[in-house]
Amino acid sequence: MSSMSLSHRLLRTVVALASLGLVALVYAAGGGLNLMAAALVLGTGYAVRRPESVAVSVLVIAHAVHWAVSAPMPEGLGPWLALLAGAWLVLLLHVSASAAVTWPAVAPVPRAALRRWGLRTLTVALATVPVWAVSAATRDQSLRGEVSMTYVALAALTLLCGALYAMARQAPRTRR
Amino acid sequence: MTAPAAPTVPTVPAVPAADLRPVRATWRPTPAHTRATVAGLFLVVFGVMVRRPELLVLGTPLLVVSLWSFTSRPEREPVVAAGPRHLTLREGQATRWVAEVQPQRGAEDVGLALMGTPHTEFDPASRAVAASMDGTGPTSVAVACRSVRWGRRELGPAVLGISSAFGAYRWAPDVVASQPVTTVPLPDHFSARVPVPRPDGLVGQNRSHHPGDGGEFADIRQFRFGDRLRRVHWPVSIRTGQLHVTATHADQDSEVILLVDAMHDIGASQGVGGRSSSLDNSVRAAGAIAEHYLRTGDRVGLHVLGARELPALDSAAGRNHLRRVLDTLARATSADGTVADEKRLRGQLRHRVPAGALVIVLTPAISRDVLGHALALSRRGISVITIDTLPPELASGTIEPQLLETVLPQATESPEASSLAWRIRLLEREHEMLRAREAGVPIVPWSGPGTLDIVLRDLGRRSRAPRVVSR
Repeated sequence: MSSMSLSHRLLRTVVALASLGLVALVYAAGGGLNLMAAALVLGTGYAVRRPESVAVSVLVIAHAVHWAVSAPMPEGLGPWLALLAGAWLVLLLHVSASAAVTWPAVAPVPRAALRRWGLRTLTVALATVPVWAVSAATRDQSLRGEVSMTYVALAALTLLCGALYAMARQAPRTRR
Repeated sequence: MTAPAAPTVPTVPAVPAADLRPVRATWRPTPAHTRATVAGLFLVVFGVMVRRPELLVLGTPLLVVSLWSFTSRPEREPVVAAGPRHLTLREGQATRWVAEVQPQRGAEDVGLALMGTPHTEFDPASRAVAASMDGTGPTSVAVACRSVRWGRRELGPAVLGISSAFGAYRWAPDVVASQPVTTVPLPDHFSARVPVPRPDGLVGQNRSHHPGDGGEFADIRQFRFGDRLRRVHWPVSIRTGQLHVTATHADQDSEVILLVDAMHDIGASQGVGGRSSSLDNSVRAAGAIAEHYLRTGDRVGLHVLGARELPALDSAAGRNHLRRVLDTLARATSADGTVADEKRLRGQLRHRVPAGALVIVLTPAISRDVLGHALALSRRGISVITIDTLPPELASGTIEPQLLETVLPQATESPEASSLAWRIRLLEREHEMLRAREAGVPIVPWSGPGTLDIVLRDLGRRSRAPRVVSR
């Protein structure tokens, strides 16, 4: 850490703040499990030191599980706003951890790259808002339909996502 | 240690960017992309299935990042050329280790990190740089490398990586190796005003014993058929009534053979401006002597005694030969002290020395064989000069503990015994040098300009006197 450039230290600080902010947000939303929160804090420390490891992936999933199992269903504007902030913190955690392993840790990150990454993160954060808004608006509405068709649709969505993941795993076509 | 001098630009032309070595690899998805895809899909699908909007909302940004990365992924391999811009440097000169990336859709960020190389200073000191590709032209990332010691070393190897949007795909070869860079020694300043004792070659600048065309007066003798009329000495001719001419000594070139003792490398080597080891002193002094004599038109040969895979350089003249000498010196490495090294040394000592050649032995006088060889050459009637290249700080009896470690690695375990052992070795060395001096081999410490003047004058005087030699 001592030989790391200032910009990389800032990136890792953002990783830590986003992860700790998520833990705090779950408590603010009325949930929180002390044992799991302690594990998340420890996991945050490891992820900050090794952002290239699988610890960051485990941390993201664990934050979501922590939120789902401990926080009550959001009701009212406050809890829904907290959920939106939580989604943004998950985004920040993922993006800052990705950025921390994109460049050599001892090299300063170019300003142009930081600006580009920041603008894209902002765009993704804004793209999350409609999903959040639809979720908040339809939370209390009972949609009519057949249960069997709902599960068929879910299965199709799963297959679609699986196919998308398989395509993402493939290396892009290389043409010289 | 003095402050390092500012790096100078090499005088040799740089390798054109088009001639840098192409680097090949393929794009691969990164763990970050896998994380965004797997976690995003899991949270969204599971959230919908169990009707938990929190999971859906938390997973949405990850899924959006994954989709964005996937749709903007690069489709072709980038065209990358990398390597050092100069393959030959002089000590203290700097070059740049460059990676040039041609614009490529989807490729956005470039990072380059060089592994450390001995005797090389880097700028930036972290040896790592990063750049953002703007897509309009080639992107170049470079680390400046200043070589502070002679030798042949590979700069790097380097780790190079190019990333796509959100760091989702990465193009990264394992390591990028480059051709070794040869750092030729920066010769010390050297000049000799006294000519070589017995020049025996063709046209040169040294006065030989043979009569012929030259600038130095030898005699006034009777005219012989073939003498030039402008050589006629009229006052003597009128006085004696017979034609007399002025005879001169021929100006001839001489052959200088440099024997560099690489059997031992004693002392710490800190590069230009720092402490020098015995091999540093030998190599830089040999470079300086070769440069001086080659500039004055003499022929210079080079034998590096004890070095592996380094053929001897036959005597030749000219600027190109100076480059060959410096290049050979740059490849010199010290022997390991094994039996094979001693066998190789014995083979290297059986070299041809023509009559009239001046042999200059550069040695720390630790190897008895090398000093004995100088003595044997002297007994054969060959002019031999030995230059003592042992660093002065190591030649004294009271030696600093940290310096002693550079001579005897086990000095940390038993400093007193090591100090005593080194003093005994120095006494033996003094004794061997005294014997060599008494046998007629002059030994002088290396001191730059004028180092050889006094001994050359003595050798010149001695060469004109009658003596007994063993052939």
